[in-house]
Amino acid sequence: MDSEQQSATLSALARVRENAFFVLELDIACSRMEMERQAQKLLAMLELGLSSATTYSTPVGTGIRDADKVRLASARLRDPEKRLEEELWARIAKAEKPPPDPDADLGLEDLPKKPRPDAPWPNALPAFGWGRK
Amino acid sequence: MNAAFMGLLAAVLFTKVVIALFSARPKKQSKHPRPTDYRLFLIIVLLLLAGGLARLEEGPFRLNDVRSMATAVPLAMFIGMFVVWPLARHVFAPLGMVRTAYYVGYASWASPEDRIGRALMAGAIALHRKSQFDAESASFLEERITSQKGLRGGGIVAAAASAAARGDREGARALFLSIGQLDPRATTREAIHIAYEWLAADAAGRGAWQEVIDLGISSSHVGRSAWLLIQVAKRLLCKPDAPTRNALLLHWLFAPRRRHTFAIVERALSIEDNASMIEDEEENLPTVSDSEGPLAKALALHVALLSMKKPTAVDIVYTARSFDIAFEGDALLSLLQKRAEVIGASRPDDALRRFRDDVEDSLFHLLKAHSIALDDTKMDLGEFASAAQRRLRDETLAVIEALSDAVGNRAREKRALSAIDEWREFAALKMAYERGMRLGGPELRYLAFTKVHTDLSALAVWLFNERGERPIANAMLRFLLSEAQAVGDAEAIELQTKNVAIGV
Amino acid sequence: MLRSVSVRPQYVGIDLGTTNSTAAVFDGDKVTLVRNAQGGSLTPSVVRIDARGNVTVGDRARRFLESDPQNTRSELKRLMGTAEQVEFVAARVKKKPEEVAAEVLKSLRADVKEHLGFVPANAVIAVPALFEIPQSSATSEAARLAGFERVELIQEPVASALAAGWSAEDTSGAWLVYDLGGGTFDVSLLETRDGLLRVVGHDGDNFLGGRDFDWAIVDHVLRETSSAAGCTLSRADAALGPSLRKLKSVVEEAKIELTRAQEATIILPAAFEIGGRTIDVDVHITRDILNGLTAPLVDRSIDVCKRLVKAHGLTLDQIGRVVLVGGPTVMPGLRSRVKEALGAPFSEGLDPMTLVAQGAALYAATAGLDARPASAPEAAAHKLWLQYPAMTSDLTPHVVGRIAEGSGSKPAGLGKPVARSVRISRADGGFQTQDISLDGDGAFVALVELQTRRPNVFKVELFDGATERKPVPCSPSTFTIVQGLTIGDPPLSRTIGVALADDTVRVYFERGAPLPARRTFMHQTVETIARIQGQSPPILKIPIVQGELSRAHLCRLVGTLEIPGNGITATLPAGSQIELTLELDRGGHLSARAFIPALSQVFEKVAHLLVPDASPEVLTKSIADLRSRMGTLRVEATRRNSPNALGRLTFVECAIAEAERDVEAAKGGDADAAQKARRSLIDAEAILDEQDSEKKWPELDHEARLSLSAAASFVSEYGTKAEQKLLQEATDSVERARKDRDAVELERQLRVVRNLTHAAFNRHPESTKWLFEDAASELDRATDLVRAKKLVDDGRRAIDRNDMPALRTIVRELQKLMPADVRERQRGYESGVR
Repeated sequence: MDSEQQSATLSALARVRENAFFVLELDIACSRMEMERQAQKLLAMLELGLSSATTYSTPVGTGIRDADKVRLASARLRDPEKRLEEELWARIAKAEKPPPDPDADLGLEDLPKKPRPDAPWPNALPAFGWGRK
Repeated sequence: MNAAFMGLLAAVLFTKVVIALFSARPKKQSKHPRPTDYRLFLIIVLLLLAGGLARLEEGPFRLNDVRSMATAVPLAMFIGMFVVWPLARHVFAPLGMVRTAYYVGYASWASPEDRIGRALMAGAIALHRKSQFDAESASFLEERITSQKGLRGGGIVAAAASAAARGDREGARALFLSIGQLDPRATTREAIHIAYEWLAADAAGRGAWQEVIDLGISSSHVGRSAWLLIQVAKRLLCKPDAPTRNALLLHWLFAPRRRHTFAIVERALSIEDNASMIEDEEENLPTVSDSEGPLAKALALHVALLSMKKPTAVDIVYTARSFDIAFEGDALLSLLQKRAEVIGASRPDDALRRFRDDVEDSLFHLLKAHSIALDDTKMDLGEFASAAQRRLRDETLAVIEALSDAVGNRAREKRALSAIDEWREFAALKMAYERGMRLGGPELRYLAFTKVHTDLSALAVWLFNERGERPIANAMLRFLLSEAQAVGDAEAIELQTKNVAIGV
Repeated sequence: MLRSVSVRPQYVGIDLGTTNSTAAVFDGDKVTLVRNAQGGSLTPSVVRIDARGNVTVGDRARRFLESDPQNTRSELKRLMGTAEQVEFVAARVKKKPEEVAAEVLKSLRADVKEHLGFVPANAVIAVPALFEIPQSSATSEAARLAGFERVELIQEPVASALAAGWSAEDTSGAWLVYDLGGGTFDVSLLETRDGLLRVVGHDGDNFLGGRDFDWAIVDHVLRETSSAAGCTLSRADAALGPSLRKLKSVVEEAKIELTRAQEATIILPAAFEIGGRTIDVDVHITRDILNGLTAPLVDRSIDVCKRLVKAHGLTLDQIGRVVLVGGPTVMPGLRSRVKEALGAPFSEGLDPMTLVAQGAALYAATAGLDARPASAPEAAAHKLWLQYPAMTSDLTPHVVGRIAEGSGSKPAGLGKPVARSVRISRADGGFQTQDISLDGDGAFVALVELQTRRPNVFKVELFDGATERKPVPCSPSTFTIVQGLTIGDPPLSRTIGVALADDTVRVYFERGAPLPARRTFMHQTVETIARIQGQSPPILKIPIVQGELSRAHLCRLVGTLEIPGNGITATLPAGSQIELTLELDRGGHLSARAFIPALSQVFEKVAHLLVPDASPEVLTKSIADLRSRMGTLRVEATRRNSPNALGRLTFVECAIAEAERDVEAAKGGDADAAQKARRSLIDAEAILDEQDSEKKWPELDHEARLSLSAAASFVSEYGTKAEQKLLQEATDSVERARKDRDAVELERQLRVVRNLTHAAFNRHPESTKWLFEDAASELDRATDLVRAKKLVDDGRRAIDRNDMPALRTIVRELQKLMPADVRERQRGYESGVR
């Protein structure tokens, strides 16, 4: 994946990962005051470097929280027009897991996985004298 | 007998000299100087060498003997032609001696039409053998690459290797790949082999084994190193034409750097002959019930899609269709209207429009991130997927048009870049164009070709007619010809066939 | 944020106005206006530097404004961010506008010191909402030069709203802040719910203010005096400059008089001297005349208000009240006209002249920008890092704390904890937390309860054991939270983005985005930047623009990030990735950072631009160009009978006429009028561009229909299957583009259609003959007639012997001899080919 593709991946993820309700860990029915209070608490915790404030969970994985994100998220929720849109993105249904892997019952997933034969060969370029290992 | 043999040889060479003298005389003053014809010079050197060897038969060298010296000079020339280049390429370059490799390579008379290019190539290889990146040496080489006139394969490979040494893999890849566009007369086999060696190793390093296989079909074309990796890749991917273990061992024995490549060969050997490929763990979109409504379902699918490593076109279209369903009717708008009343918003329709745009934007970025082209002839795309596909096509086309515009405007305004930078610009345009072809299908190819043909022709003609950069100009015209054939533009085919035929 | 609370925090707000400046202080309880040495709360924004270099500011300087204008300067705010040098002739010094403004700020800072007893380190300065980046940046610079350590900017309407919101009892609903200052007009739409203030949006006119009212009266007086004296007096006449300044001052007084009286007389003996004859000014002016003269300007402000309300989906009857701010709003004519047009009642009891400064001081509190210099912590006490809102509408805000380690520069981490629990109690004894255990990081989060509308002082106590509860000294041991209003980060007044090669804008920060803001996007270069060491290397420019229009050239260029060819380590080919990050702080400082992955290089130097020069010559030429464009468009619009287009063009005509008047004033030395004209012309150009594309659309649409019909006949008969399919796709795209009125897309698709037609046409057995006949019919237009005639003869012979390859070559040669437009028409396969 080249840098342009990586940038596109981040853009695709942004709507969910940067959703104001996920960043502030709030329910979509929260009041404006609850939002302000939560944002103020998170900003204060981040300012003092409390590790418990630096991450948040989203349906697409863990997000890294910083003061900019919190301020941006609260600005979006302060504006009722923008909040409406944020609410829509936060209405995600719980997906049912895909059918379980038959091997899972045997506990095979816990065994160390053998590398695939077609895995990358990181030393390929150095092996031919191109660059350093 | 020896004297008689030498006399015969001298007679043959004398005759050749006479013939060469007459045939080398230009019949007509050409507008562009032809590359220097070294044949006559070569023959004189051989003649003197033969004379010198004949002298050897007669007794030992003496410094004060004119005949002895007459023997030493052609011998030195012989060494220059046949010994100096291997010294630069296989001794000084592996030792990381950038300047020495360059100067010794430059002193070699072998392959005179691209002497500087080859010297630069030796220097660039040496750059990679240094224990640390040497910015000063890189600048030394890059200055020479930039000032090189009459750019050919060697210079391009040197520029690519230099970019790779700086860590610009994408730039290096574009330049190494561009070697394939040159007329065989404009490059050397060695330059091609070096390019393919790097490309194969780069793809292997990324685990893109299919890309390795796609590089070539013969060892004479890609060189022994790349060919070894192609065979390894075939075994790793369990291709039907994969070599047997013994055959792979033979390839390895014939390839260079055996000690360094054994690890990957060993991995390939560990796979049974005729083994079948271990399939990727299948990634599937999860099942989502409708119980929470079509929007919640569409969003859940979207989230699952975002989490997939390699979503397929079908996955994306399925998700996009679920959004189509969510947007049907007035359900979403009335949901927003209710919420707007609660939170004091006044424009729920605007919020819905922005949400629609965001969904489309997200799908567009997914298509772009995974380089997926949607084919509406194979499936019904629906509104969102069609819109995302259209946007991908438009953006791809806009990039091609911007790059093409830059090339065309520069050519028309006669704002010259160095030859290697002209080539870089062409390589960038070509890469963007080819990416467009993959993503946009035949319609985009048609659109892009019209634009690129006009602009790139202007550049190529300027390079060919006025700047004497015939090899790279010819390569650009060859690219235009192949594209004209692909889109079936008869007029362009006719024009570029003639242009390409003029040669390098 | 480490605070010592030996005394209450003090917050300083400054209104750096065009005419007057004011400072206010908020102590958590009430807002107090700072008095200057003369005892007034308004300090005229006038600076005088005499021959000995002595600087005088305020009233004392204002006295010299008429008598010694060469060494006394006013209205500096309007020059902020421009390259205009302010000259003080006697002292022989030239200063930048921000350097002169810094003198006003220094004076205010000294007044605040007198008021508070210490030199304020930090302050909030109010700026017009529509100030652009260079203007905001210059204001921050002025504050820095004045000695402030930290300064934040707030938009004037937000400040006014804060002050109005703080004073009002019932503040729920939507309201407008109508702020007409000396030089700028701002209107803001605000909404308050439960003490939470929100700026819904704002709009304004950077070049409309009380000063324009004065000039309108001056123009009237000049007209009256000219007709009475039988001569021509014009603001364009540079020789009248000093006299005009005097007249303006008298006019200003008359205008103020007319707010109380029904009529006034403007008398200025020997005001002008024309051809050796002195001319007196003696003009009687009534309130009705004044209202008539200023009505167009007031209407302009009302239009802006209506536009703002409409843009946010509201109607005027939903506006609860209007807050008037600024000196000119005391004019009775203006008040009645605005009230009539907007319908909502005015907020009473607010001082329009000082509201902004009061709001700025309140904002300093919400931003926690205490003016006191940082105090040294108490000895032998453990340092405590505390975070809490200095002012909030929340009755139960959070307080977060952490024990600092060692020197206090870092929060505590591993090691033996100095305390195990914390307790917070309100000074009045009405509230106390439980003992809260400190976590592994030595931190705690607590909810505290506030009393409404007052400063709440809290005491913090640390204890070292859970059972023994032995107190641990800490610093600070108290802190104050004011219960009042909550306001979000200051919103960005105009959209900021990067201009792209195709004249579009990639938006980084939308209007209303909270400041500070930071955003990163990936861009691609479109041209190769060669690495060249030398005097004039190629430069990759990344222009940063500010404005709402989608076309980059119509937005204001506010900065440029440059990547020079002699600064890169290797050539940067076209198509290279550039990761660009823009950052904007609350002081209006814009920074940009470009990372080039291919070179692993970072570029950060941004050339901050000034407000562009607007010389009267350039403006006159722009006006002539716009007039000519407008003439063509008017003819077109009349021909098309489009009342909508004609209406827009009339609007442009008015704007151009006004710009002409401003250019006249600019010729008389009024640099500010020149800037105003420049902005008006940019807006006019945007409307003409829009009209241009409107005009072109029917032609393009017609062309699309013709091209599709020609393509359908040729491609269906002579096209390959693939071409037929492509044509079908292109036809669909053409229809879509026509439906969306997307001209760029339509032109693209027409290119495909023409190419397909071209390919199919070439397969027609007679196509070469048709092309030949067509070229032959244009013979008289050939650039080389003799050669063309010979080619036509050769062509005829080729037709006779049916030698089509030869004929094709001849056609190509013939086409080369044709002028460009003929060739173009043939390539495009438009009418005339058959």
